Amino acid sequence: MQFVDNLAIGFSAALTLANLAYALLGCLLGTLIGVLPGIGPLAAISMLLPLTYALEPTSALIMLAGIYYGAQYGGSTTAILVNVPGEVSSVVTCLDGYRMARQGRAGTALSVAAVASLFAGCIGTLVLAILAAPLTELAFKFGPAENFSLMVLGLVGAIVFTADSLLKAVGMVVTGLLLGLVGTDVNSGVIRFSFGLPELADGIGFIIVAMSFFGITEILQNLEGNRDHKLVTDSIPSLWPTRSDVRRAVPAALRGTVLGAVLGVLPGGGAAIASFAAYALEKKVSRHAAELGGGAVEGVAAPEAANNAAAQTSFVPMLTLGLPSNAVMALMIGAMMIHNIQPGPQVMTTNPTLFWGLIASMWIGNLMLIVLNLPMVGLWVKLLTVPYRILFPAILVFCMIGVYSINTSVVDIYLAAGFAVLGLILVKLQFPLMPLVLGFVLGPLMEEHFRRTLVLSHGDASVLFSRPLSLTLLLLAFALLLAVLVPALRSKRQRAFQSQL
Amino acid sequence: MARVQRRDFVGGVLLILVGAGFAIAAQRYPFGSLARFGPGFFPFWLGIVLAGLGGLLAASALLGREGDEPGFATIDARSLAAVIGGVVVFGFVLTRLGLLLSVVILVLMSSLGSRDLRWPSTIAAAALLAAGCCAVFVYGLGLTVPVLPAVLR
Repeated sequence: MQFVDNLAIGFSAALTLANLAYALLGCLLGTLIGVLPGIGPLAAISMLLPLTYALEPTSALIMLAGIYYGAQYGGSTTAILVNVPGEVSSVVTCLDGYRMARQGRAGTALSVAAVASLFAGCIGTLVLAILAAPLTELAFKFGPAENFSLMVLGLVGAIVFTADSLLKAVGMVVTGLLLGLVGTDVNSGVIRFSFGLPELADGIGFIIVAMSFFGITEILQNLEGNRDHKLVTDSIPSLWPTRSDVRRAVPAALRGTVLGAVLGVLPGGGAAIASFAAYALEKKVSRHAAELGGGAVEGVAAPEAANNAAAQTSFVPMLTLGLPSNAVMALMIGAMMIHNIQPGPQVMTTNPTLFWGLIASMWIGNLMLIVLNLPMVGLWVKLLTVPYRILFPAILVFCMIGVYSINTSVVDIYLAAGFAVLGLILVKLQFPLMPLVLGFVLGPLMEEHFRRTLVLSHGDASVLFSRPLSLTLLLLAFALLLAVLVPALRSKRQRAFQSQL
Repeated sequence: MARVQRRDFVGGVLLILVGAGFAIAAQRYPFGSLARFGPGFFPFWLGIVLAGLGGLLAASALLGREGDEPGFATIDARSLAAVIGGVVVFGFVLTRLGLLLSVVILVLMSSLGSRDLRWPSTIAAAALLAAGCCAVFVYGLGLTVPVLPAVLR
């Protein structure tokens, strides 16, 4: 009955008036920011992070989690109504959701997306709650060698799933690892790569990098393009789906949930891949596959369920192993560190109220989201009419105040300007930014685990391959790499053959 | 050079420079032994790996059969200057002029980066944001930053 006890701890932590209020505030603010065109959960979390500094850790994480799924929910609203995805995971929702909206079925699309998300979110959270204890147990068996190999696996997973060019993604991971090493070396106390700036002695703040890349660089990119988006409807006629909509949406949402929950747990997995995979699955198995892309309700239900399920289960590796599987989770880890909580298996035992409270709050938050947001959809629609020329300076202001508030240091603002330019250059050269961010978070940790591995084995790196758990993790990483490389090689060869003909 | 993928070539060279830079800088720090490595060890080898990756990328760009799509190197100087300039100026004036004016300056400056700038609504937004930020962040959340310019304090 350990499981029930744990959940009881969680609910008693999450159901306090204060934490309920923070969950609510998080959901609302998350939706508010997420609904703005072109702003996804990443930007929303990094912008709103400063609001949580003053809170106690449990409340802060509950609020951040609320911001996360609020932003995701808001993103799908934008996708359906304006055809502008707030982030990658709602790209697929645009396909059928926007079509439905143009056919006058915006209300149906919105409510199907919301209910599918709620259902998937609840299931995903259940998976998280069930997996948490055994995985934590496993993680306690990990020595430094296993931890190092696990991080290798996590980074490989992230690379494999995100990038088009493997070489560039690996390059970004290594760049991130290096940038993460800037500052004082924990082992020797030597200050590295600080260019003599005392402000860099503590390293470059992760939040600064995140806000520069996902806030400012994003703005710079958006300003270059033409951002002419049109709202399809000013009013949402009816939120109620018809009976046939429901009959078609339910199985699709179920399939999406299962797929999303599985993909979310994997290192490198997360909401984006889950929604793509779910859409692809619908194309294969749905009885109405031919209608997909033309406003089919399955095309909204499945990916929305999948991305929400994955969003919840991607907390699994983060909370149990301390391993961020995507950039949002990296932000969560950054947030935990700000509150002096070292993410990893020990969180569950040292901070049970935080751990289970966060999990319990996910159910509550998901419920709040739908109860509050569906009736408020009219308000969100109004928000969509704010033009980007007004929006982006506001985003910029919030980001900059956020950056400053971390250390109340002006130098951080200059640093952010520098990273934003770096981000723009990298984007122009088609380097993916996410691997860099993950590498950045993991850099010092990987160095430390690698160092400890070598200390324990007296300088023999082969223990990474001789300890069975570590070897298994590395083999998994290798298999993942191979799985991507092989089809790539094949298609390249095919292209070579075709060009000869 | 016509068929070379310039984008990847430039990217590769960039990685080589960054990697080499870190590797060279890392040599100033103690290297240690394998069994007990010092602060220079990890960054040195990572730098070497990064330079190697950059080399591979640049080489594959030189050998690639497809050229770039045109216009990859265009950077919108106007928005870049407005936004980054705004941020840097914000950093400079924040503690000197206080949050209220700094927010106004940041909003006005960065707005210049948008091609469909309209002054009346932008000025209104700047005023609203400045007042709102001071209320929320300074009075609400207790951020330690001056609100008013130094001369008025």
